[in-house]
Parts: sequence; structure tokens; C-alpha cells
Amino acid sequence: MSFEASIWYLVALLTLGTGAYVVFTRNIVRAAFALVFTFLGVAAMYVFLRADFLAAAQLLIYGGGITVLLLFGVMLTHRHEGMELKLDPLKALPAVAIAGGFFVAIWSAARRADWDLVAPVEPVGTSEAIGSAIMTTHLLPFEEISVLLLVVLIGALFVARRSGEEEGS
Amino acid sequence: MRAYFRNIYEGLKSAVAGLRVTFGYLFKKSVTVHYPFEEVKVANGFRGLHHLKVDICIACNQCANACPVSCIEQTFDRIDKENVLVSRFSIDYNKCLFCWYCIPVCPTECITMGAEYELATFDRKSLDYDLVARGERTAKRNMTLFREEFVQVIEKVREKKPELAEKAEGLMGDPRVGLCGRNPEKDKSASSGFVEEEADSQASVSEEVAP
Amino acid sequence: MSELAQNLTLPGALLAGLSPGVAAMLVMFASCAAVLGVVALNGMFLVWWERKISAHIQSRVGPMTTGYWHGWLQSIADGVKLLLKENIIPLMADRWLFMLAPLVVFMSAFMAFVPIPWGEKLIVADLNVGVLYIAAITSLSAIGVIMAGWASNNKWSLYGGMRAAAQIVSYEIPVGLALVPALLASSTLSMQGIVEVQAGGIWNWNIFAGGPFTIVAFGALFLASLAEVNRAPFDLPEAESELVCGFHTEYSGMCFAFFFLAEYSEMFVVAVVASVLYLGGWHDPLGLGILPGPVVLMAKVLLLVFVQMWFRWTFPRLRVDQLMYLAWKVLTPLGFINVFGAAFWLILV
Repeated sequence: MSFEASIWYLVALLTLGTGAYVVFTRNIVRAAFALVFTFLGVAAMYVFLRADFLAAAQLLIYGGGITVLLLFGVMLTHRHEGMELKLDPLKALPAVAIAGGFFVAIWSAARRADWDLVAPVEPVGTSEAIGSAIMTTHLLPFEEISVLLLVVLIGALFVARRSGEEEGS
Repeated sequence: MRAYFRNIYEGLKSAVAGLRVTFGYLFKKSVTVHYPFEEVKVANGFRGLHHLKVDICIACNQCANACPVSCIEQTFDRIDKENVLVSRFSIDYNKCLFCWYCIPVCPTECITMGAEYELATFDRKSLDYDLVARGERTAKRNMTLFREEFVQVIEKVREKKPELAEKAEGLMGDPRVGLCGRNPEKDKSASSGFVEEEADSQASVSEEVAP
Repeated sequence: MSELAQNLTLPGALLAGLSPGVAAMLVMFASCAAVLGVVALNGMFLVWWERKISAHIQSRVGPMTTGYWHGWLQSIADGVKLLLKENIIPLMADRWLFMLAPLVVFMSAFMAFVPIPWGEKLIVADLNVGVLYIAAITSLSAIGVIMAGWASNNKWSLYGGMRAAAQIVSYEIPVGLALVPALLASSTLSMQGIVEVQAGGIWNWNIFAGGPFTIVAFGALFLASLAEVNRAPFDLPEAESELVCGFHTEYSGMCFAFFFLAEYSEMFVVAVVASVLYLGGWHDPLGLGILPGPVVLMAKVLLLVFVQMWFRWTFPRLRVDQLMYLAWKVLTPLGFINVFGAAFWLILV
């Protein structure tokens, strides 16, 4: 096993282990913190796949941004003592069914796929290619995403404003 | 909109003003005194450790009475109607709160507060200071000043109280012990007369003693 | 890390006989040790320096005795003291998260040193997305701060953590916008590439590339990055007068030392980012190339760090609403103006 491969297995273990912890723990704050490490592991996976821009974006947006917001939300919404998630069998069953179905679908796709084993390539910068693709061939989807985000933002503002008015009156 | 830009402008202006002030201070001479290595100059009227001019102390005990924490204790022997031998004037600095009450009540102004303040010690008992012992030089001068008179007094006393005379004689060599006259005016004249007489030999001592 | 191995001939010769895997591992550990050494030395020096600057601004003298010359060994004495001190974990704290938090904060500060270009060939790893990587890694320290605030099970710590979260989320946007004009001017994300573009004297630096817009962007970057690393006047997460010590109230011993070291490392990193992006990195102002790169970079970085400390000992702490006002209503619109202005300037001028 090469050095890179051993690091890969370590990262895979980190990603899967923290991911499993997110699913199985009952402490919601700990789950949120474990999610950070899952995102970090995924970013490391992107590095192994020579997708450096994606890895940095993953770190910046998921590691630094989304999880901070998530933790902020968790800490604001529940009491200080540490809320325990309750497991409801009626809710667990459909969840297990959906997750199992999804796993089977992915597994079968992975089995059927025609995996080309190529020699590892020297990492090349991907940010330039991504940038020019977004600005030329995929300009319309990019703009649509911005419009979608704007709509979401205005919606969030609207929701926040209404609840604020109710408190005021 | 105008208020918004005005706000930003004011913020920047005050920030620059503040930065200028602190940058100026960066190169000003610092006021720190490197205390254990340098001497700290105390203010006028600083209430530090007490000083006793043992030659004018009349052992009236008023300072001890005035003390709110009873930290002053005087040990003295009455030699005759006019003279008193103060062998110990102790201030317990464990108790003393440096309130200055002992100073104004003194009829001869023999007790004052000085500029010393270092009291740190490893042993609590060592804070029981003997002012007679501390005022070594004053006492030495006193002994020399009053030697003649002192000898006369001892001779007078010897008939009535031989043991006291003996004690006083034994203490005569001890520079820590003060003999005190009742009359400060008389003492002053004696003092000045002495300085004229033996100015050469005692010049250094009287200089240090001079307030 | 391969760049470093190639650039240093001596380790290269030593590693020639080894198998590639072992060689890569050795190079990696050597790089980590080098970065760790820089982080530790830098932290110790900056702590001493800050104490000196704060002292002289306040007409004091600061540490004077340790090491005989102006207390220059004070940081080492403090470090030894913190190492030997007991590491207290509160009974009701979340043990694992409590221990993990300083490591997360330190790790993010430590990893940000990797793509710093010290000289023409002196760089641990010249990442293609270096600037983005640093922005991402330094934002991870917020996770550690929130973790510390939460795990301490202490209301002050929790408030500190929450403030850190709000602050980081707000200030990532102005920081990102202030980075963009420099990236436009040098059209690369690699730290080394950005420095190479600015060769040949002060007039080629990015700060003058976009006219007034890049100058303003540099100021905005400096200000916003101060907030990002929780330095005064934006030190709300650890506001001593309100929250005792904020998120690290409960920390002691070596865990506290990690937070401390991370703070000074982050200060250093943001100063490096500002000087690499706008002030020409390891290029000297006259374009002579006589001085070695690390010396030039250190001079610029220490100047910026000095300004950070000068700010800290000048300004009082902002209120939370003032902080948000500055981020959303001043720095963010300013960032957009800078981006567009610099872009037009670069095209037209």
C-alpha cells in the first residue's frame, strides 16, 4: 500500500466514521460538530480526485459557512442542557427503507459501472476551467441559480419580518 | 443617505485621531519605575513608617492612647522628676493602619511619619518594630549631647535608686537608648551649643540627622 | 510538499536512495516540523512584541527582567509555565469537545501556513487555489471557537461562541470581496503566482493596480480580516469586560496556550495574505532583489501586525450591532464597489 493510499484510507475512515456518528448520536450539537469533520473528509476526497477548486469551495462553504449557520441555529433553537433526539420507530422505518433503497441504487450503479483505471495524473489547476465554463457555456444556469438564491433570500427576509411584527404587536 | 456617509467620515476621522494619539504615546518616555532596582519617590506628606526623635520624646503615652488599633507601646524608666529613659518604643506594623492619628497628638512633635514603606518579611513577628532601635543615629547624638547631664542625673539617682542608676550606666554605651528631657526648649539650646563645640568631629552625624 | 523537496537540494540528495512512499512521508513530516517551528517561534515573538507595544502605548515598559534584555525570553518562560500547569476540565463540560476545540482552532491556524510563499522557491506547497484555501482554512477556526464555547458549559463561553459564529458568518463576505480585486489584477489563485505578477518594484504591486479601488480594497481587507481573527476592536467573542474571557474562559494550561498560539498565528496569516495579495509578497519595494525573500516578507508582515496591535491598543471594542452595521452596511457595499471599480479600471486603464 502506497503512502497516498494509506492516507486515503485514513480520510475515508474519518469521513465514514464521523458520518455514522452524525446519524447515530442522540446529542444534536455533537452531531453538528461531527458533520464538520465529515465535510472535511469529503473535501480531502476531492483533493485525491485532483479537484482542488471544489475541495477549497467545499471547505469554505460547507466547513466554514453552512456548519457555522447550522450550529448557530441549533444553539439558538434549543435549550442549553442538550436536547436528546427521540427515536420514533414509525418514523425510523420509512427512513431506513429510503436510505436502504438509495444505497442499493448506488451500489448497483457502482457494480455495473465500467471503471477505467488510469495512472495518477499530476494535479492541474481546475479553477480556470470552471470559471470559463460558468461564464460561457453554463452562463444561463449560473444566472438562474443567482435568481433562485435571491428569491430564497427575499423569502427568508419576509418570514423573519412577519414573525417580528407579531412579537411587536 | 447623507447621514450614512457622514457617519463613515466621522468614524474614519475619529479613528485616525485616536491612532495619532496612541502613536505619539508609543515614543513617549514611559513612567514606569523599575521598583526593586530603582527607588520610588513618594509624595510629600506620605504616611510611611514612623520616625521617633527619641531625645525629645517625653513618654507621655498620648500617641498610644490616640492609636485606634493599639499598636504603640512605650517602655520607659523614670529617672527623676525631669528626666525619663525611653528604652523601647514599639509599633506593631501587623496592626498599624497608617492613619496618622498618633502624629498630631504628640506635644513635642517627636513622632513623625517618613517615606519608607517596605515591610515585606518572612516572619510576622519581625513586624513589631522598635522605634528607638530604628532611630539609631538620633539616639547616638542624644547620648553624646546629654552625656554630661546624664552622668549628673545618674549620680543624683544613685543614692535613691541604685539599681536604676546601674541600668542607665549599662545602657550608656548602647546607642539605641535615649534619654529624654522634659523641656524641649532646653534641649534645643543644648543641642545647638553642642554642634558649635564639636562641629568637626560630629559634622557628618548632625548633617544626617538634620531634618 | 513536493515543491519543497525539489527546491531544497540537500534533502533531495538524502532522499534519493529511499522508496518514493517513504521519501514522501519524510518530506511531509519535515515540512510539518518546519511549519510548526515557524508557528511556535512566530507566536512567541508576537506575544512578546504585543506586550511591548501595548506597554509603550500606555507609557509602561512591559516585561523587562526575563532574559536581561527587555524581557526577550518572557514568552518562553510563559510557555513553560503553561506547559507545566494543570489542565482543568470542568465537571459538567463536554469532555471530548472541550479537548478537541483548541486542536481545531490550532489546526486551522497551522494549516494556513502551508501555501505561504516565503521566497522564490521557498514554499511548502504552492496550491493552485492558495488564496481560496487560506480563506477556507481560517474560517474553520470559527468551528473550534463555537465548539469551545459550547463544550465549556458556561454561559459566558456560550455567548462568546455565538458571537464568534455571527461575526465569522458576517465577515467572510467582506473579506472575500476584498480579496477579489487583487485576484483580478493578478488573474491567478496561487499565492506564488500572485507574488510573481507583482515583481519589479512598488509601482507593480497590486495595491496600485486598480487605482483607488485596490487601495480601498486593501484597507477593507485589513479591517475585515481583523474581525475574522477576532482581534480588537472586533474581539467580541472574548470580550474581557463582558464575558470574562469569552469562549476560552474555562481553559487552562496547554489548551489555553493552543488558543493563544492560534490567535497570534492567525494574525500573522492574515497579515501575510494582505501583504502577498496587495503588497508584493517577497518582492522588495524598489525591485532590486538584493534582500532574501523571507526577510522582505517578514518586514511587511510585521509592519501589518504592528498596525493590528496599534489598532488593538487604540480603539475600544465595538458593540454587536455596530459590528454588524460595519460588516453589512459599510464593508459589503464597499466590497462590491471595489470589485466592479477595479475590474473596469483594469480593463480601461
